[in-house]
Amino acid sequence: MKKTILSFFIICGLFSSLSADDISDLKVQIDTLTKKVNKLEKKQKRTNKSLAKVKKHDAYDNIKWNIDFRTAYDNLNYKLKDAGSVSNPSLLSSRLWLGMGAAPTSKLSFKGQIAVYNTWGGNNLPATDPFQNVNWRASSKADDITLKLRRAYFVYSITGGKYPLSISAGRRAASEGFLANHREGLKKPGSPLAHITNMEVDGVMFRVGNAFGLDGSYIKFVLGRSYTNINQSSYSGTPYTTVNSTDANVNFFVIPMSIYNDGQYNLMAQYTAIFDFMGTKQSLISTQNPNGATTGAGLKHMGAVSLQVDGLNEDVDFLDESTFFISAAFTTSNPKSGYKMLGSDKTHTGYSFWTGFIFPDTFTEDGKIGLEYNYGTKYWAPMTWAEDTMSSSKIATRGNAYEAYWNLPFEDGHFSTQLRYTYMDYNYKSNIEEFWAAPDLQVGDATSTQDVRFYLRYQY
Amino acid sequence: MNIYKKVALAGIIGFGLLSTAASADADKGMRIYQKKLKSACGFSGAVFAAKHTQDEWAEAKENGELGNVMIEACPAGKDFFESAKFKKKFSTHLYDFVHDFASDSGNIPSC
Repeated sequence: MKKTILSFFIICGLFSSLSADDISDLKVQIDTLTKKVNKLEKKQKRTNKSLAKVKKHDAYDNIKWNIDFRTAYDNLNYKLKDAGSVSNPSLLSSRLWLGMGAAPTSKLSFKGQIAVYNTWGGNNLPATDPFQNVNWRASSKADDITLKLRRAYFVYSITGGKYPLSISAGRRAASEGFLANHREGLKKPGSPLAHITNMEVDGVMFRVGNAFGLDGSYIKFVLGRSYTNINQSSYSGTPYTTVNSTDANVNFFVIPMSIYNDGQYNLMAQYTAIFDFMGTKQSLISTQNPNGATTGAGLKHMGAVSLQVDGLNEDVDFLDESTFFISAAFTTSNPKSGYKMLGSDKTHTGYSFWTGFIFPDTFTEDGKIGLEYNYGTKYWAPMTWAEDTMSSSKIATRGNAYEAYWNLPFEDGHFSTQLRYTYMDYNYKSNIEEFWAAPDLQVGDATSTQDVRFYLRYQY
Repeated sequence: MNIYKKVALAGIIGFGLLSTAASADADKGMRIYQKKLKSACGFSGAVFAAKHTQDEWAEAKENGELGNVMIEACPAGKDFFESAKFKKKFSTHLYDFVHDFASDSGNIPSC
């Protein structure tokens, strides 16, 4: 009771100590604050209305798009064995990649790319050439204005923890892989090691993170099919089957792995086995098939180890912005009895070495110059058909290849140019042409090629 | 190699050693995080970047508080975030990286 009376007198005292002016000031402040709150409430209502409009507009808009559009000029020159030379002084092409991405949950994502790669005014490429639009390079080689599926796959994270496991299936990001991205002006490489794999392929992948307990390590297991021997169309009585075919499906098993990656040193390796690969069989030679080419000829192994160093010395700007890489690889062809691979019924192994140095051009803010060297032996036969070199695959050179390029980005990298010179000196037949054939140079085969390229590129 | 080429090569390399660093780069920022911070912080760069929204990272940078905000996100990296190298060399690249992979960036991770 005494406390209540005391509190009452204290409150009265406080009010009585406020003058009439103080009370008036307080009233003004309260009025001002009330007006501000009313204003904010109206603004909040308008913001909610706008957000509702945005939500309606974007509802079911489930793909994020990006664009990579490039226009290129190539000057091509080929010296031929005992047959002079051929050239194309001005090959003009445009390439459009429409990238797609979506991540409906934190564990599930989708990535894809559809592509058009056409030569300006081009419609003369041999329609009868069965390899012009093959599945494993169709969107990576300049052709016509047809839209093609370049990549489409989902990734689902099954488990997290110390060894996170994820699964993915679809048309893989298997071109412009590790180390090839520099010459393509791409910051991020595709999945496999480009020294042995640069193709468009379909497969299923399992990925185990932290596989070796080292920084950045992971291992992937990829099963896929690069050739299907279906010869019955959907209009036949037995759609999508094979009748009387001597061809076999060509399946592959690839193990790409990141052994160590601490942001500066990136060591990667890959093993590939391709089953029932292409070769030749004497009994299949015909007018339609003068080489007797067929799948099911034997087993092909490939392996590579590649090291990239980003930033050679963080105390020296020039070296800090430079990248060095080195890579070694092998391919082995193992024909079955009765078949030949690379023109021989014996097992043959080829080797390759690849090195590069990319450094600031020193006279622009972000321009970089790259210098690369490749060497390949007689039976070197990687799967690099989707490589973006007009004059055949530089990486597959059986001989010496030299390359210099200058990548110059503008507008935060959304616009860029490249000037590139590629020289390939062949000791043996280019692996890309007649990839089932013996490597020895024949009359009319290219003995060296030159490709000068300039491009303008938009990326956003 | 003749004398003119030797002089030109020496000039390019010499001039290059004096050149300033390239503009900020999110990929470089990611590599810096991987090399300098991942072990100390104990989580990936994606987790680090996602600790704030793009606006929050931008506000921290504008207020000159980027280092402090990064220390809050990863206290074990305090020495690094207070170092002269971070302030002079690494902060712009790291900022680009965290901004690109902030919690509301909508960036979709690679396979």
